[in-house]
Amino acid sequence: MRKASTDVLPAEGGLGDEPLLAVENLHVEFATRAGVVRAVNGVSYSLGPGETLAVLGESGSGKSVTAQAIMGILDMPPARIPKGEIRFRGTDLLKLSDEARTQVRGQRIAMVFQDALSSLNPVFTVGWQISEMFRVHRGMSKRDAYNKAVELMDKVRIPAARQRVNDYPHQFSGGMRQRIMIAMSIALDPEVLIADEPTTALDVTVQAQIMELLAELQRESNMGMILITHDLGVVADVADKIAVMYGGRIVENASVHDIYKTPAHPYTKGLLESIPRVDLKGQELYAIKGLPPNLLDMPTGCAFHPRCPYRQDNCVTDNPPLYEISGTRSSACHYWREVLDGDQG
Amino acid sequence: MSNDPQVGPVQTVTAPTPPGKLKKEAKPASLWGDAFYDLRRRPMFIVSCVLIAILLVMSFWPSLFTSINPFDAKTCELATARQGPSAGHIFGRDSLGCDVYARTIFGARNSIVIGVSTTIITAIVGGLLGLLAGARGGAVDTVTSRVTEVFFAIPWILGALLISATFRDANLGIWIVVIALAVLAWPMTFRIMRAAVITARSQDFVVAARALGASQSRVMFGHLLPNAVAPVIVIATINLGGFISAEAALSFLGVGVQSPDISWGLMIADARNRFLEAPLPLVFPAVFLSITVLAFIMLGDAVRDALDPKLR
Amino acid sequence: MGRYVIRRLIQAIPVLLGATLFIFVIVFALPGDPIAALAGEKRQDPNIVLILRDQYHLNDPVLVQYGYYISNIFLHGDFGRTFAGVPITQLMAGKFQVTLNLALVALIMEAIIGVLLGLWAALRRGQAIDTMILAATLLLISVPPLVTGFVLQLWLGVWLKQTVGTEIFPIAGINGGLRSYLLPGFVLAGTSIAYLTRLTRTSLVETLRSDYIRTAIAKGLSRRRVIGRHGLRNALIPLVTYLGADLGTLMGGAVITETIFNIPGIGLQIYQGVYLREQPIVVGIVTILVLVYIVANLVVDLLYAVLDPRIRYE
Repeated sequence: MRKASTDVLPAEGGLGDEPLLAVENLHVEFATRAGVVRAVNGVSYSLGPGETLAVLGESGSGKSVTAQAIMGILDMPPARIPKGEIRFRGTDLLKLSDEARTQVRGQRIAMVFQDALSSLNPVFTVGWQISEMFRVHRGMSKRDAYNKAVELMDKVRIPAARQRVNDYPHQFSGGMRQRIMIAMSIALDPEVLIADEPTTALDVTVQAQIMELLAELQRESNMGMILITHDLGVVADVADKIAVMYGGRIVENASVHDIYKTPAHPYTKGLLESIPRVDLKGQELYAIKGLPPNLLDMPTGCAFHPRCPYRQDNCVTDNPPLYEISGTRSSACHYWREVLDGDQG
Repeated sequence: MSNDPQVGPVQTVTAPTPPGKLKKEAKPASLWGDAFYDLRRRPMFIVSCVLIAILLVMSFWPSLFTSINPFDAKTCELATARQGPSAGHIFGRDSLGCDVYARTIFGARNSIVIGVSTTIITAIVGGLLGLLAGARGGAVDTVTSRVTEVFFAIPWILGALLISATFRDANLGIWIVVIALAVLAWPMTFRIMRAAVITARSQDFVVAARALGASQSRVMFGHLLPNAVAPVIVIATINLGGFISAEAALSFLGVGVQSPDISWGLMIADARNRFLEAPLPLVFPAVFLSITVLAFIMLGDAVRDALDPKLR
Repeated sequence: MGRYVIRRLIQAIPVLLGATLFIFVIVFALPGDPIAALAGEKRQDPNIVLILRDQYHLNDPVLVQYGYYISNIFLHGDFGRTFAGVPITQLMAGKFQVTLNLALVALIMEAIIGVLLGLWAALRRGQAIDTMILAATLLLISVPPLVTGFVLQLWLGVWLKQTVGTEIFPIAGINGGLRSYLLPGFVLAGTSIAYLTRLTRTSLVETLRSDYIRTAIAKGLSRRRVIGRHGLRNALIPLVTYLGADLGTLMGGAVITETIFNIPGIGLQIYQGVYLREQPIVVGIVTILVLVYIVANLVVDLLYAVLDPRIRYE
C-alpha cells in the first residue's frame, strides 16, 4: 500500500452526517497456492461514538479479516483489497499513505487480540509494553511513561499495579493478561476499539469480568467498539447492534433485542437454537447441519443454502441481496418473512 | 565437517507436519506422495540425484572411468612427479608420479562406502533406540537420553579423532573411520527419532490403535515408525555428506584411511607440501570431495523442504 | 533464576563425568595393552612402559583408575604427560591462547556475516537475494574446510599477493598479527556462518509471524521499530545461544584449520601428537577441549535464562 493521495489525517470533532467508522462494500482476498480465497465479499457496517457493534460468526466467516483490514494489519501480499472503502471520520483509510495509516493505528483505532499470552511480547515487561505507547507516540520520558502505565494498569483493575509493572506477561493469569492487553489498547484514548474474541481463551467467570471492564471503559470514554465473537452469549449485555457474518458476507443486521426475539436469517436462527437453555432442559439441542463453506469453493447462490432448512430452488442460483426489513434491520435471505414468522418451508 | 552439522540441521528439521492446511490428516502415503511430487520439480533434487548416481557407479566400477589401476605401482613413475596434465594423464601426476585422475576416481569408493555405512549404522542404532525411548518413555527414555547428552558434549570431530588415533594400529582398515564416526554420530539420529516418535505418539490414530489393543511392537513398527521416519531420513542424508567430509578430514590428519589405500583426504594430505607450486594433485580430489558432499547435502535439503513445507 | 542456575550446574556434572569416562574408556580400559595402544608401534622402551603403568595406575581396578584420572584432572589440573615427561598443560602454555584467538576471530566473523546475511534473506524472503543467500549457505556447508583452506591460500594468499604486489592475507603462521588470523578464521567459521545464516533467517521469519508482532504493528509502531525492537529481540535468542555453544565447536574444529595454516595452537599440537604417535598429547588436549565445550554450553544455557524471561522464572 503506497498510496499518497490523501495524507490528511481525519480530524477529531464534529462528524456531520458521517459515522465514526464506516466500512463500505469491503472485499478482501488471499492468494494461496490452492487458489484465491475470497475471505470478505462486500461487507458494510458503520459505528458511531459510544456505540458497540457485535460482529458474530464462526471461524472463516471473515469477521476477523474485516477487523484486520480496518486496522491495516493484514499481510499484503498474500492479502489484497480489490474493492471497498473504510472511512474513518469521513477519510478512506485505504487511500492513506503508509505513514498516515500508522498514525491512525494504535492511537485512533486500537485493537485487543484474542490470546493475550501470545499477543504480548514475551521478553519485555508489561510496563515496558504499555509505556511504549506513550514513549513512541507521545514522546514521553521513560519515567513518565511508566507512571502512565501504572495508572492504566490500575484503571483496568490489576491489583498491586505498581509492584507488577516490571513483571513479564507469562507471570500473569489469563484474565490479568487480557487486562494488560486492554490497558495497552486504550492507552492513547482511541476513538474506536476493536476487540477480537477478547474472552474466548478465558474461563467463564473471567469472561464476564472482562466484558464488564470493556463496557465500563467504553462508557467513560465514549469510544466506539467493535466486538468480534462467535459466542452469542457474550454479546447480549454489551452490544447495541449485531452484524451476523457467514461466508465473508453480512447475512443479518439487527439490534440485540430483535435478534434474540425474532431472528430474520436462518443462520442466525440456527445459532440461537444451538445455545443450551435452562428452560428447554431435556430437549434435544439443535445443531446447524453441514459444514461451514469452503472459501476456495463457495456454493452458488446463497452461501448458506446447503445447510438451510428454508431452502427453495432460487437459493441455489440467486445470491440474495441484503433485504431491508426496517430502518435498523436487514437480512440476506430471500425468505426472511418466513424465517421471522417461524414457518419452516 | 569440523564444525558439525550437529546443531544446524537438527534445529531446522522437525517432526513431519501435514503438508498444507487444507489436508486433514498426515498419513505417510500422502506425505510421501506430496513430497515426491514436489521433489520431481526441484532442480536441486534432480541435480543431486544425477551426481549421486554417477558417484555410485564410480565407486563400484571405477575401471569404467579409467584404464589405469592406481593400486598397481608400475603405473607410477617417480621421474614424472607433479607433472602437469598430459594426454594420458588429464589431471597430471602426483608427488610419486602416479596418475591423479585414476586415483581421484578410485578415491570415490572409500568416501561412499564410509559415508553410506556410517549412515546406515547410525540410522539403525540411533533410530531404533530413539524409537524405543520415544515409544516407551519412562526409565528407558531417561537413561538413553542421559547417555546421548554425554555424546553431545563431545565435539564429534575430536571424539572421532581420538577413537581412530587410538585404534589406528588395530588393522581395521577403513572400518575404524566408520566406527569412530558412528560412535559419535548416532545420538543425533536418536534425538530426532525420539522427538518425532513423541509427536506421533499423541496423534489420534496412534492413541486409537493403542486403545483398540494393538500390541506394543505393532504400535511401534506399524504406526509410530512410519510416521516418524521422515525427519530421520532427512538428517541421515545431510549427515552422509558430513561423514564423507569428516572421513577426508581424519584421513588428512593421518588417522583415517591409511596408505596404500586411496582416499581424497589422504591425497590432499600428500599433495599439501608442494601445493603452492603444484596445486593440481590437491585441487582435483578437493573438487571431487566438495561435489560429493554437496550432492548429499543438496539432496537432504531438497527432501527436507519437500517434507516440511512450513519452512519455505 | 537461582534455582535454574543451580539445576543447570547439577545437570552438567553427570555430563562432565560421562564425557571424561568416555575418553578414559576409549583410551585406557579397552582390551589389549593400553600402554601398547598408547605408545603405538614406536616406543616399546620397558622403562617408559613401567613409568606409564605407574602413572596410569594400571594395576588397580578400572574404576579406581578412572578415579585417579578424574581427580588428577579436577584436583590437580593434571591432564597427563608426554612420553618425555612434560605435563600436557605446560606443553599447551601459550598455544591455548592462540587457538582461543583463532576461535574468537572466527566467532566474530560468523556473528557478523551470518546474522547480516540471515536478516537480509529473511527480510527479502522469496526474492532473488534470498535464493542466492540460501545457495551460498549450501556451498559453504558442502565445501569442507579442508578444501576452502587450501583454495583460499592459493587465491587470496598467493594469487592476490602476486597481483597486488604485497601480502594482504598471510597464509601461514601468526607473525602477521590479526591479519594472520583472517583467512584461517574464515575457513574455521565457514560451515558455522552458513548454519547461522540459515538459523537467523528461520528465526526471524518465524518471529515475524508471531502474534506479538501483529500486536506491535497494531500499536502503530513503525516497521523499523516493529522489526528492530520487537522482532530482533526475540529472534536473537536462539542465535546468541548458537554462537555461544559454537565457541567450543570452533576450538575443536581448529585441528584442521591450524594444520592447514600452520598456526601454532593446540589444534596443530594435536596433529603433531597424532603424527608423532604421542597418544597422551592427543588425549590430554582432547579432554581439555571437551571440557571447554561443556563449559561453553553451560554458559550458554545460563545466558539463555538472561535473554528469555520465560526460562528465568520457570
